[in-house]
Amino acid sequence: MDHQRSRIVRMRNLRVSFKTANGIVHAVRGVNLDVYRGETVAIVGESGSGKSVTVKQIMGIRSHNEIVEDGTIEFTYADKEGQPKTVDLMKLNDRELTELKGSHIAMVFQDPLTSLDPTMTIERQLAESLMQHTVLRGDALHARCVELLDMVGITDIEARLKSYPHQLSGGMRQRVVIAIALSCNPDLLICDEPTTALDVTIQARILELILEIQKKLGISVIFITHNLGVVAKVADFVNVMYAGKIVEAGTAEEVFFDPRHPYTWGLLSSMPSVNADRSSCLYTIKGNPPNMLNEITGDAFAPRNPYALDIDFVKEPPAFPVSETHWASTWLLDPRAPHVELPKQLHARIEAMKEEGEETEA
Amino acid sequence: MEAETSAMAQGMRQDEDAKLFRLSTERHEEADSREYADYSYARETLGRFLANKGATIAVVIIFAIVVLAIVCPMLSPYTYYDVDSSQANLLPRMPGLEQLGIFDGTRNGIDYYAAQGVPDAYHYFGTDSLGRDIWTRVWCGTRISLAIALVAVVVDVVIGVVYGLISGYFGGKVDIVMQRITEILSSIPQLVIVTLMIVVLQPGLGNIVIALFITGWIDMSRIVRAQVLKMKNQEFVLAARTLGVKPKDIIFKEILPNTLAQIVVTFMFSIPNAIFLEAFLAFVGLGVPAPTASLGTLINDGYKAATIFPYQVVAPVVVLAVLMLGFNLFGDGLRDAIDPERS
Amino acid sequence: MAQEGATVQRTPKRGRSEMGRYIAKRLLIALATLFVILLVLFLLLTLMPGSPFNNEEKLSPDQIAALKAHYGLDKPVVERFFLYVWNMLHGDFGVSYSIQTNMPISSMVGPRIWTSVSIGLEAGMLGALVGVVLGIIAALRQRTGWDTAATIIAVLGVSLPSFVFALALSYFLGYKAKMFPIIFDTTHPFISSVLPVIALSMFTLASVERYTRSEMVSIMESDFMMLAKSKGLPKAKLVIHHALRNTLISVITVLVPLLVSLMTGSLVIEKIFSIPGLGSLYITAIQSNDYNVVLAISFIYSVMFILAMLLMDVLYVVIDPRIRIAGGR
Repeated sequence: MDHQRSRIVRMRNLRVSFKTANGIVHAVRGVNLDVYRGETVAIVGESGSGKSVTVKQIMGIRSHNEIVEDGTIEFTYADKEGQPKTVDLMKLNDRELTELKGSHIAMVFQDPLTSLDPTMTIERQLAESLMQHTVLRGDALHARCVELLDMVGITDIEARLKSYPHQLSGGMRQRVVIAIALSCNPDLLICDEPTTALDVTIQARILELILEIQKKLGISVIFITHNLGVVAKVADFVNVMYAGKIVEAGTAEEVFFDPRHPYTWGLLSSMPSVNADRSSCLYTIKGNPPNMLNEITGDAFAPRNPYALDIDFVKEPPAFPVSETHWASTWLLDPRAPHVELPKQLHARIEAMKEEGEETEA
Repeated sequence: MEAETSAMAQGMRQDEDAKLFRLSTERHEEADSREYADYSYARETLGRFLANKGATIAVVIIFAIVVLAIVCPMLSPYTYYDVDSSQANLLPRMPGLEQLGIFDGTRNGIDYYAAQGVPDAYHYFGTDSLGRDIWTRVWCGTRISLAIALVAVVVDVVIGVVYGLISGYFGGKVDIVMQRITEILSSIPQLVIVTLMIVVLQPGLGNIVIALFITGWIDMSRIVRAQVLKMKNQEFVLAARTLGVKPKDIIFKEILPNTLAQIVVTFMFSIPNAIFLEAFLAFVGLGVPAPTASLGTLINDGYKAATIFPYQVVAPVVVLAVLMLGFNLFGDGLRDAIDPERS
Repeated sequence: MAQEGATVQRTPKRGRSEMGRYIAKRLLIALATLFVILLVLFLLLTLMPGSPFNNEEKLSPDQIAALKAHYGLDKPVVERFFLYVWNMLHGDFGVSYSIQTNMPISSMVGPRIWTSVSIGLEAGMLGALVGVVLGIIAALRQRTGWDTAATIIAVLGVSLPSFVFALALSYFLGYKAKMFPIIFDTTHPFISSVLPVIALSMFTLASVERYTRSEMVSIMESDFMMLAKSKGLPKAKLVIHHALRNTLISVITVLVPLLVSLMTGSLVIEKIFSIPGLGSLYITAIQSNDYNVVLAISFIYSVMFILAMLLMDVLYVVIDPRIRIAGGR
């Protein structure tokens, strides 16, 4: 990554809550996120960690009981004249945000079976975005649709264009959704668990597709998932999220080979491995994610953290830098903290991963 | 000076903090126990229902009407069947309110009570063309309408639930046959069947109830059957079967309790339907025979004179409307409380 | 890139004949049901007590027997039934016994059908249109004053029986304000059907409004709406091209059961406004024990009902591409 890194998204201190019948749920409690041009940023976390809510703010997708308490999201793009422009997405009004959607920022959703309008043909849904943001019409429009479906690897294109969503399988529908998202050459593509609802074999193909397109078009991708295996495959940068905050962030190598937060240790340890010794137990992180209705004092992960310090229950840890690109929010990185070794199993696993990596490269 | 104190303060804090940098050995159980709030399904449902102002008011009003229906005829000096032509077509007159100029038995300056020689009589809702007190008749009518509706719906529920349970649970040929029957029966509008049954059986209190329940169970059986089908293949039923629980017990102890919510809601909605059907029958001349009154027969009697003596039809119409509205709101509230945000 | 396991269903061309077969099947079932209904109705009426003849008390047993033979009432039930069906297929519904003795029922009923059907259709269309519009407004302006107002109208319309509206409208707008006639006048059919049509439409209006609102709200919150929004489409396009289409498809399925309510309502409305339609004839026939007429009209109502259900099935298949292309249920 020696080339000039230009940032396209700068999110600071995002705080979002939900009003529910049982009280206020603090879903996002101060998230900072950076995305650079041409790179894939992954956000990993359990269900309920707030990852979806965080990225939906970029698109302005909010439910009626959602309250945005704080935060800025600066988005940098080239306007119609080609001049670079930076806007705070949180401060835009509806109309301004709508102009950016589809043309500069696009999104792929989790469930392909419900993402498409069942009463419209594929071609029409594909063309909608193009008609809104470009001047393509008629034959040129049709040609572009064909081009897009070809790019996402769909065969028998003419027939597919005339089909309705229910005539396509899940994997194909997801490809169509990706095609729609890419149709106007956006700068940023947000993928919210795009493969979770698909079969494992299809998952791999869709991931390959996204990678391929990213390299070809040079777009930035934000990828949300709870699956570390997926992260390893696609991400340049990884953000680990827990209970509404990012607890560790860095390049994929840094987070996988040199994790610093006990939660990341837990996540990495609990990945089942084909090479594992049969006598060893499958690791799990004990306990459950916190109930976000309650105010959290100190580190949210502390109750489940086998390496928790007393101070974890009192004060929240700030972000401690580990390298230029790597930081973690844990008191263990404070100079005053006792030295804690990586759990043995995890250490062994990481060593094995490193060896594998070297072998593949060799 | 201040810089020193703050530096000292910082130093002190750092010392304190340093003590905290030890691996935590305490169990911190309170943190864990806070994670699960205390939710009780019944309490939540009740809470949602009471938050629905329309539904709560509806319950109160229904209750009030039922009380009035039971109590008022008992306290009234008049009966619902006494005919007294000297007191025919008197306007409503209520003590107390007559001082204010409304409900004083007069219209356009004419005091009808004095004119017909009964200056000391009070008829809260006035009298009809045969001199019967409408107040008493309305509340007696309400009793009858409610009674008819309740009996018919209860029987409907029993038949419908059993039919739906059997048809849904046993499936196969049994289900197909049972469903064909309901399909054919429901192809004839309920109205037509009810009307024909009354024509054949002749109008009468019991016959009306019979006609109502013979046709009303179909909806309930459909809903119950749908629920049973949904649950039949769920794991807890499968588990019960593998354990050797008898079908009868599975139906009544596993499936039925889970369908209760739907049953109650449908029950609530069937009542206004029954009240309406009875009123409708009365309106086409097939209602309960005189002198027994039901809200429907009162409306039927009163509407003929509606332009000259509107009060004769207003009272029963209002009570009927309020009852139907109340039960519908009640049913709506129940449904929303039990199963919110169905989308 | 390899193609995935596609489960593409049959192409539209074959789908059309599938649909044709589906419709034919439904038609057959409808006819079979009608036959059974006719049987049931016929049997019910043979059990009817009382005599269809006027002034039976004044007739001697011989005269009664002669009358019965004249009308063919002395034959066994089964024979009478098949005779009836045979005649019916030729348009002969028998004659009236007591309302207008010996008048062929088909001519009694004929003109009245048109009156009742036209008022019913007008009410249905008015109710459906206004209901859809109100429902859309309520859904788009959720949780505001419009929504509350629409909900109130809906609750009232659904709970209060049509005669409440009929009486209220006829008293306030007809009698007091004298804006519209309260008795149906065949020389001025349009103006004198205003009040009855409005009263009759209320239930449909309210039901359609509630359903439209809830469907629309659920569609606006659906995943595909989220995707459409993320394309950067303006709100108007979102609503018209996506939300409305999906909503209307669902709404149509609710319309048909409402036709039943139009039938029940029409009986009452015809009585209150003295409309010379099918309903008022039905009431008269019931009250005079004229069972041929009762049988004929009951059957007509059943036919209308079944036709409506058939229409709904067909419409549903034609409009919803999911079903159309998959070739029917």
